[in-house]
Amino acid sequence: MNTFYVSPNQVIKDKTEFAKKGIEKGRTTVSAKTTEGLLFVADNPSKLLFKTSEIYDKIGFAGAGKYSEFENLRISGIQHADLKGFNFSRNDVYGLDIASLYSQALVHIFNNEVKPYEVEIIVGEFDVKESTIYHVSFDGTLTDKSLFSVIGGNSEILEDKLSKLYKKKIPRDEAIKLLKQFINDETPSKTTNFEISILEDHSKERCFKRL
Amino acid sequence: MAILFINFLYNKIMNFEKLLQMNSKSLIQDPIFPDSINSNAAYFENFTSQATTILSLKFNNGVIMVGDRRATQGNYIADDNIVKVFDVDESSMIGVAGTTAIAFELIKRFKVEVLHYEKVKNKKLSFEGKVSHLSSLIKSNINLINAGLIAVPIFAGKSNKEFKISSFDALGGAYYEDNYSSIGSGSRLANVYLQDNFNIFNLKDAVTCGIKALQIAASNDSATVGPSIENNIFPTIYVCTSEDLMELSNEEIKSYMKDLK
Repeated sequence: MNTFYVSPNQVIKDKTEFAKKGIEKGRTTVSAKTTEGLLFVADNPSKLLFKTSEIYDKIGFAGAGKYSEFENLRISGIQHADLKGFNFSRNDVYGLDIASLYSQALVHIFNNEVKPYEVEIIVGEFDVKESTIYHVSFDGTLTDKSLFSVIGGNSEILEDKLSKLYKKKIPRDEAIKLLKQFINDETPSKTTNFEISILEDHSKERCFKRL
Repeated sequence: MAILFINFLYNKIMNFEKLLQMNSKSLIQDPIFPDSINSNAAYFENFTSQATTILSLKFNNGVIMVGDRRATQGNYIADDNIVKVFDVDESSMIGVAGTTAIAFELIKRFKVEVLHYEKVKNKKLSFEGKVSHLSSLIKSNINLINAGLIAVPIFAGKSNKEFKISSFDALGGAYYEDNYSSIGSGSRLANVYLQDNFNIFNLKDAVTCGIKALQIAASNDSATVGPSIENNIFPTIYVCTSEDLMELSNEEIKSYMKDLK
């Protein structure tokens, strides 16, 4: 068998390009902090395959890119959270746990597998004082966002554009209107079907709700 | 090398001896029936908490579950304030009688697994699915059941548009009940009362009927504590209607109990 030398630089460049292309094909999902809590607005033509989901009592999830791949991550996130909550207590499950789990998994896959995952993930954690949004990219880079995060499509450019429109926390209904308009204006798809879910205080254990 | 080997052997023998000592301590034999399984049960009974009466009955717009607050260890009242009825999700609730340590773990695990299913599949587990899963969870404790450590749940909630009550036996057999059911040490007394007095009530009458049944059970069963305003002991009451599932507050229960007198 012939093997050729390829420099690590080149390998990472190729993988990054490949993953970015895959994600750009995907539709956009935006997560933003509102005055009530957290909001996920996903451009999703399907009513059965969800892009946003509940992970735990106060933790939500949004994925963009390849469905099978982020579904895989979503389920392992739920398993991790449920196990931790069962072994310790329901208050011991944090959004950062889940986000760093995804980060570790994606780093491993990006470095060791032939094909990297073509996904971007948002993990949102609701808190009465200050909610948190974590963004995990295809190569496992984990960042936390101050106000909102965009995944799918050309997310970096979209994030720049949204920063001019979304400058502070606004009420949920206004935010939904704004984000729907934003997705319709700035992305090529002109869907009318949005998947909207929220993480808010319902005076119950579980904060996640689909609208 | 030789010293190491001797050390190793010595440790092994010492460990074995320790093990023997421990076993002889924990093996308490019944002098009359040395091989009987029940000797274990009698032994455990004085050192583990037992939860007592829970009952559940349907009414015109749903189903309620009422549980007393007592836990016993043999003749000793371990706790007059424990909670033995829990919500599982927005459409079902579970009560439990028997060895509390096992029962509470069973409920915790059941609740986690039901919610896990819902989150992963994006669909609610059906009532029948929950009952069947609960059956297998009970049966997975077969070794402890042999030792006499038995926990028996009662499960009720919404199934499509109907309301259902399911009771279980110690081995996980599930039985759907028509209108009412009860479990635990006071269950026979409560069942007799419900048999005579059950009707398709409205919520208010159903709750008063449940409280009354608990009082009847407590009057002749020492392991059940009767609801009492003087001693500040209020039963746990969950109500499942077609809209939602909620726990009644002590104040609400108090007002129902005042009507009773």
